[in-house]
Amino acid sequence: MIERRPVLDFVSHAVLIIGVAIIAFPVYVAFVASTQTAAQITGSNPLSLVPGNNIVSSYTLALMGGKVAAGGTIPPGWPMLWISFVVAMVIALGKIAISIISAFAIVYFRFPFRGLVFWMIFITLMLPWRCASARPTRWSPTWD
Amino acid sequence: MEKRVRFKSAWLPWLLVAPQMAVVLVFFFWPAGQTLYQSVLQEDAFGMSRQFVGWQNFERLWEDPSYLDSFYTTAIFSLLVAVLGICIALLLAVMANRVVRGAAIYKTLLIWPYAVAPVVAGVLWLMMFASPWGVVAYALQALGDGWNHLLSGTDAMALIVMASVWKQISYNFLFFLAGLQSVPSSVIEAATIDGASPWRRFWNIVFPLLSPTTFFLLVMNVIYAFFDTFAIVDAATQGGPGKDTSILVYKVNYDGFKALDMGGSAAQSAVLMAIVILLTVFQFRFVEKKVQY
Repeated sequence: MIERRPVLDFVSHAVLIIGVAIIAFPVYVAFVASTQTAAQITGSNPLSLVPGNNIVSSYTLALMGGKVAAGGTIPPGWPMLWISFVVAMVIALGKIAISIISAFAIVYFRFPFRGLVFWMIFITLMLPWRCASARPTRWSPTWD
Repeated sequence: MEKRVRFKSAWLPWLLVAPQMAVVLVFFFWPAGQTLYQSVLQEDAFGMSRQFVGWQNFERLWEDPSYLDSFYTTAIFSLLVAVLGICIALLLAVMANRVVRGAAIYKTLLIWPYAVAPVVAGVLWLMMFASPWGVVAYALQALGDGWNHLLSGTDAMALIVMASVWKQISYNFLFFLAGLQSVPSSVIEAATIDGASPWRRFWNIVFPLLSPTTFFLLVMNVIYAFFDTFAIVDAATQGGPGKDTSILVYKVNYDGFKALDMGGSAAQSAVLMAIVILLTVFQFRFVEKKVQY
C-alpha cells in the first residue's frame, strides 16, 4: 500500500487467515470423513479431525462402485464424472457460441425491437430457471 | 454502449439473435407462460381434469397462514444471507486488497467455494452440525449451547443461513475485489497525504466508490437467497423442523411435487416471478442511476 502500517498489516493477515480457515473447514471435515470407515464415522462423537487410514478403499468405492459395509451396492462414480464433464463442456461451449453472436447483433446492428430482444434475453439471467419451471410438467398416468 | 462502427443489414441481426431467441422462448418463456396459465386452473393430482378458477388460487394463497409464514421466513432468510454475505466478503476483500505477501494464495482459497454445488454446500454444513458426530455441534454443546437443528427452528435457520452465506461469499468477494481495484489510487494517495487515516479513507472514499458494486450484490444476493438456495435447504433441513425453514421456493416445490397442488404451486411461482422482475427493474432502472459515484 501507500504507507507503512505494521499493525494494520498484522490485522489484515489475521483476518484473512481466520477467513480462509473458516471457509476451508467444511471441506476439510468432509475430506477427513472420507478417509475413515463408515463404522468409525457413525461410532464417533464427535468426528475425529485426524485423517484415518481408509482413504484408498473409500475412493475406490466411490469411483469404481461396489458393496458397502451396510450391505447395499453403489454404482461406479467415474462414468458419472465423465458424463457430467461432457454435458458441462457441451453446455458451456453451446451457450458461449449462441450468446456471442446475439450479443454481437445487439451491439453492432440497429434493428426494430432491439431493446425488447435485449430485455427478453436479459431477464432470463435474473429469473432463475427453477422459478419459471417450478411446477410439474404434464405427464400421462401409465398405471393401466 | 453506442458503437461508432455499425453494420447495415435488415436480416442479418435477426439471423444472429435467432438461436438465442429460440432457446429463450422454448426453455424460458414457454414454461413461464404455462405456469401463468396453470395458476388460474385447478387440476386434480393426476392431471386428468382441469377447471378454470380465475384468481381463486391466488386468493387461497393470501388466506393460507402457512404461505404468509413462508413469506416471513424467506424475508428473514434472504436479509440475513445478503447482509452477512456482503459484510464478510467486503471485509475479506478489503484485507486481501491491502496485503502484498500471500495475496494470491488468500484470493485463491477464498474464491474456490464458488465451484461447490449448492447441494454439496448443504451436505458439508450438515456434516459439521449433524447431531451424533457433528464437530461444531459437539463444540457448541460443550460450551453449553444445546445445538439441535432438528428440534430448534432457530438452529435450523442458522444452519441454512451459514451454508448459503458460505457458498455466496466467493461471488461477493470477487466483485468487491474487482471494485476495489478500480478505485483510482491517485484519490487515495491524495487523501493519505492530507493525513486521512485508513479508516477514514475507507468510509469517505472507497466505500462510496464501491456503492454501485454493493447495490448490485445486494440485488443478486437477494435473488440468490430466494431461488438458488433450494438445494441447500433440501439437503440440510428439508424445510423443517415443522415448516420453520420452508422458504418460498422450497414451498413451491413441495406443494407442486409432493402435495400435488398444481394450481397453488403455479400461483406461488407467479408471485415469485413478479418479485424477481420487480427487483431486477429496481436494480437496473433506479439504483444504477441513483447510486453516487
